[in-house]
Amino acid sequence: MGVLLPPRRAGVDIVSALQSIFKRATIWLPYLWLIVFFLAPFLLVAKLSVSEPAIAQPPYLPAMNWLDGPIGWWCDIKTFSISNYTFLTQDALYWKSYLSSVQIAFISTLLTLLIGFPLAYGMARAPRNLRPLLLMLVILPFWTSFLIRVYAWIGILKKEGLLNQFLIWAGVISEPLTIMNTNWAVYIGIVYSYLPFMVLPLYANLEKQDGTLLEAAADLGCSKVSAFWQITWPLSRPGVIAGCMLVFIPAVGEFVIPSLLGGSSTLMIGRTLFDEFFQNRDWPVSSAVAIILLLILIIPIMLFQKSEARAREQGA
Amino acid sequence: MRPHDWRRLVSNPKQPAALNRSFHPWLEKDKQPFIEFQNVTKRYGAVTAVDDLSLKIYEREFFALLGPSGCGKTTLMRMLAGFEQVTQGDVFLAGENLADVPPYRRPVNMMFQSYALFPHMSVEKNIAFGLKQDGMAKSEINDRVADMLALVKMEDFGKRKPDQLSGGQKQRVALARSLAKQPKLLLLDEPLGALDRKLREETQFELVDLQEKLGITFMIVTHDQEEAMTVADRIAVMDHGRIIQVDPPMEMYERPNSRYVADFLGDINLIASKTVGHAKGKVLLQSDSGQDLQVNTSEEFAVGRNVWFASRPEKLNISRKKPAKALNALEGEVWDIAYLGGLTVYKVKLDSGEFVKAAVLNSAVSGADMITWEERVWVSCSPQGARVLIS
Repeated sequence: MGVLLPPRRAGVDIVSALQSIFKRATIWLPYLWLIVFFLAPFLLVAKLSVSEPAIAQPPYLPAMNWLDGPIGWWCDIKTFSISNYTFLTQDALYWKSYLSSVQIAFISTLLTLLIGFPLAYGMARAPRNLRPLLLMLVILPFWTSFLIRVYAWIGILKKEGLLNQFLIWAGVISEPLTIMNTNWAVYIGIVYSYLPFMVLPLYANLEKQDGTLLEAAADLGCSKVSAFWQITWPLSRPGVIAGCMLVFIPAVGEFVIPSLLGGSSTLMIGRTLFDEFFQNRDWPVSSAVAIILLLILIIPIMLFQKSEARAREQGA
Repeated sequence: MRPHDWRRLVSNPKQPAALNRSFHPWLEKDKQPFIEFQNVTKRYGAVTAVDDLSLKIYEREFFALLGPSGCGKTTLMRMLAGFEQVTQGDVFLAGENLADVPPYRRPVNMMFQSYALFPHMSVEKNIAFGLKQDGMAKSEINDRVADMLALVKMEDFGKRKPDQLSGGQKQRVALARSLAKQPKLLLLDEPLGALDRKLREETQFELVDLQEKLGITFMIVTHDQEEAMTVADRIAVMDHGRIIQVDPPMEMYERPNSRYVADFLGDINLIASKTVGHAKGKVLLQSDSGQDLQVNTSEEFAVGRNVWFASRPEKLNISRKKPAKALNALEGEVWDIAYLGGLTVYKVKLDSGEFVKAAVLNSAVSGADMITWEERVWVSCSPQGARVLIS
């Protein structure tokens, strides 16, 4: 009588318990990853940035001792020094570096978009069987070292380099151009290095756009050029934003390209940070520089995520 | 009423649908066609999509292109819209050769199968899109958009994005958008294909109403024969890039010119036969199994010719006893029965080995007396209910 229940079996319970553990693990794994590889280093750097520099090994006085216990930690926190941050406001080098980094990154991003969009557009409109090959060509540079590719540009851009030789041979110029060790070389280097990051999201977006929308636009009296600006361009917005973020964010903190291609007047925060860390061995100040850089970058990342969320809401 | 008097139309939606009754422009002599295809051929490489096709369509007609997928019906329509170039021949619209007119300059609008609504624009902006391209004044655009929304009964959805609409609503918006510019010709590419059956049937009648109210020429592409018969004044049945027959739905159904058309439009029983002679108003046939058959027709056929005796299932009678005036009566055994509610279809295996279908209207509540499986039956067809098909 009553409701008949299946007999309980121990094995079934173990299996279901394991299943729920795995389910939870798959949710927690990404968080664990973020805690270990993002939050912990961030906290270390943050702690470093409020320490006092010292001539020691390592070259700072720890601002906090984990062995102090909770009360000791509170005392430690009260002794945190913000002098490293105030120092950044006193020397014009730092805000000039930030500003110049953002400016260089912004111009480079714009140039990358200007080159990347037609490239992605052409790829998306290419015959279907050709597209995988074109996609391969875009990814191909990743197969060699980034550093070597930037080095190679020195050979192209320097005074007696390939570019100048070619332009003189072609009769375009009579005197070699000074490109190497200027901001132009940095722009060229960034545009070249980050172009795939612009092209790939744009291509992914343009390729899946519905071609009948353009036919519908033409049908309603819209010329081809006008249809591009009214249909294709607004619909490619998520791709443009993704591409720009993927270029802008790493470009702001770029170190290798300005070091190798830029001149002494090329001010970028990545270089300043490097010098602070390795030449001056001022770890606390360079940590403060890194924290501020992170804050500058978090704003565009948040904007990016907001636009992504909006795009998802629209289902575009 | 002027053909494009939209405001009146919306305020007075019940216009008499009287236009239709005696509407036969294709029978009038010297009537100027509105659309004319002259020996049009379209090839994609080695594939011929449209093959030396000529066709005339008249103003205010609701014309349906019907055929299986790949028969060239969509290509034909896309030529009118300007999305496909003609390989050979000419297409005229209102007397003008369309050869060098780009799509955005044609007084033709199209409703796409996928609707092709612009996903980043609201319903209002979608409808206003074509008007904006023409540089119409803003206030005028707003008025027209409101009219169009009223026309398709979507007044409350103007601010929505296409993704926030159901399939039927999208269909209405697409229709409103394609009508907003008051085109002379509206092309409908499988417009109801994505709707469920009930909604599709309702919308078919709405389309007919709308077309009669607006007085615009409509051209619809479909593979659904019921849809074509419901909406169209005339149907063209296509196969392999050629038009097989162009006629009004009833004409097409009752007098198909070939086995292909007869089979595509509804169901048909075919019995291979030979002509043996003529009586007044009749053709006498003998089926390949030796059965004497006759068909009322004024057509003349050479004696001894291979033809097909063709009859629709609903024109066959089925009975246990041989009918008294037994013309075209064939004996067989009930092989299969499909009870469809309104109809019962009997599949009968004739003694000659051929199968025929007979559809019987279930006018009385069925009882124990129904003809059932494996019964011996007689299937008969009056000479008026049959046709002779030669191809």
